[in-house]
Amino acid sequence: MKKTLKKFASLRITVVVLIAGMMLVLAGTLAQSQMPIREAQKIYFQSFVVWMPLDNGMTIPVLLGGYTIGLIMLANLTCAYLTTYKWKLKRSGILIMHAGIVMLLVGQLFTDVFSVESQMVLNHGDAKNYSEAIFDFELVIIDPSGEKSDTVYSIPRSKLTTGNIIDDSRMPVKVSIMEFLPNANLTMGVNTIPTQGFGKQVKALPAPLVQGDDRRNASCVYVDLIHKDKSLGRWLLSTAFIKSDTVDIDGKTYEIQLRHRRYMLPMTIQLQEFEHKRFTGTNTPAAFSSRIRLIDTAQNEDRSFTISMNQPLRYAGKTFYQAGFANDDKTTILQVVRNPAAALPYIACILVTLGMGYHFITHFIKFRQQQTKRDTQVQA
Amino acid sequence: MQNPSRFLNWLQHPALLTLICSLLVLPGCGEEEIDVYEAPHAAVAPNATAHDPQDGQDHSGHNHGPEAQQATTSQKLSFTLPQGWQQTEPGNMVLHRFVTPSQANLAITAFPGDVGGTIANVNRWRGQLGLPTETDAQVTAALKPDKLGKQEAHRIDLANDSKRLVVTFGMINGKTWFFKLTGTSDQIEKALPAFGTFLTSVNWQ
Repeated sequence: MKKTLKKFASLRITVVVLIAGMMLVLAGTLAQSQMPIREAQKIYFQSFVVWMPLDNGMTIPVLLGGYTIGLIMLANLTCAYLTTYKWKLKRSGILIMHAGIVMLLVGQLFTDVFSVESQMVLNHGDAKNYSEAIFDFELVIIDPSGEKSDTVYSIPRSKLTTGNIIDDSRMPVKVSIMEFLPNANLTMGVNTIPTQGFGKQVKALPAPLVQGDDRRNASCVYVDLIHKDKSLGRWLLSTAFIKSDTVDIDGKTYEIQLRHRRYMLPMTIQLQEFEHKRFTGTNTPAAFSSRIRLIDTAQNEDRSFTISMNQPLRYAGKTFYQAGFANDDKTTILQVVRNPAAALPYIACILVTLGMGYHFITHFIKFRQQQTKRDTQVQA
Repeated sequence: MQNPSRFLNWLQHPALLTLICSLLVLPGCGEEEIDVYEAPHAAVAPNATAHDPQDGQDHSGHNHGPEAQQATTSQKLSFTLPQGWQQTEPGNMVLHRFVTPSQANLAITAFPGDVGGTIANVNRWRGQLGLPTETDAQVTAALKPDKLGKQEAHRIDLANDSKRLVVTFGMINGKTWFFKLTGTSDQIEKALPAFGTFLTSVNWQ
């Protein structure tokens, strides 16, 4: 076992992996000019292997992906510590530095797995208490009868697979997924599959998925709602439909809708003013900022903030960045990020700096002591 | 830490196993489940005053007026209706529907993304008029630049026999907006000047 670990601890592996890492960063950066950033990140950095499609439809592996490189780096470093590292106080600088690097690698993995990004699109005067996923969506059944709030039964995208029956005791109905279309071209026309709702007037033809930060798929799902072993009807739902459909269950009216996934916030945010400064005489943006009003009744908060390009708002564990604007400067787009591992890169950088500093100082002191000793010997 | 290798002997196997297992398990942490929650309505006090602690100014007398009093929905479309146009019941996918004095119909719709792309849409409209599909180059050549308010857009004008269809469409805020005028050639011809004026008046607030 020790022999195997020693092999994994080889410095050659470190050098090869570092070179592979540099090649990946270069390739991933260049790829961002050819494809949306999100796609490039997925293909190059959030993968184990980077595959390249060939003209004949086959794909071949061309590079090690970000996860593989990170894992090999971690394993290499861990093996080195377990087999060859000399545990002495004077070498603790290197230990601290490497702890920082490990934290950076693990922190990135945690960010990929646990961070959630969404957007808040606010027109002038709009107030919202939720942000929306850009690409993810959900099937919701809403009980709007509450005086101050709606009860929302949210079925995530991952459960919307053709043939799946969603049976949850908390929900008022069983939902049978008859067919799921990731993207569809919608046209007005008689559709005989749905028996209820607006979808009866809409034809949904399957379409290839579109990719890109500014392109959206019109996802559709045919559902059969079952209550007390009886079908209440079939619905066609789509993210392109503006209004929700309704369904009566035991004399109570519920809303049903396929929509972009919502993340509820503990506060309401209202756009008061959006400012877009341009360089004089040009249309080049110089700065843009949103003046928002934040209302959190539970915390007794009601005040205004200005969110600008380098001044995000941090509140309730989320960070609100100024991401963009639209609609002739009347709409602001805020990126809402919840990242439990957000502090790790900062801690990691501090550790690396401390480790490097300690290592340099101890070596410098040793060097000075040797030099003084040599000088003394020469003088003697 | 006098004899590190002896100290580490017992540590190395479990430590490596733990590390590898934790890393392998991590990707499974995002498993999603059905969620049931209460969604309170967005709360904005009508005349309450808020101040910005970062701007160094006293906003205690700041009145934000009517815009602060209501929560509106995204991509609210405003326009000036030409004389004689009548608004009718829109429907689910149709945001607004109008009938012109010449009895032409105007439907305004908006869909996320490019809805299959310009070529596919134009050929779909051609199909609705009984016209054959055209190549990408032919469709592109038939498109004319137009404007939706201040936003850049395209216009396509199709006719077959007495049926005619004019659509001005453009991508605004990640959605493709369609302003589709349908009717007979005569109805459309009479409605076109007002349609042009109407398009210049549209605005997304």
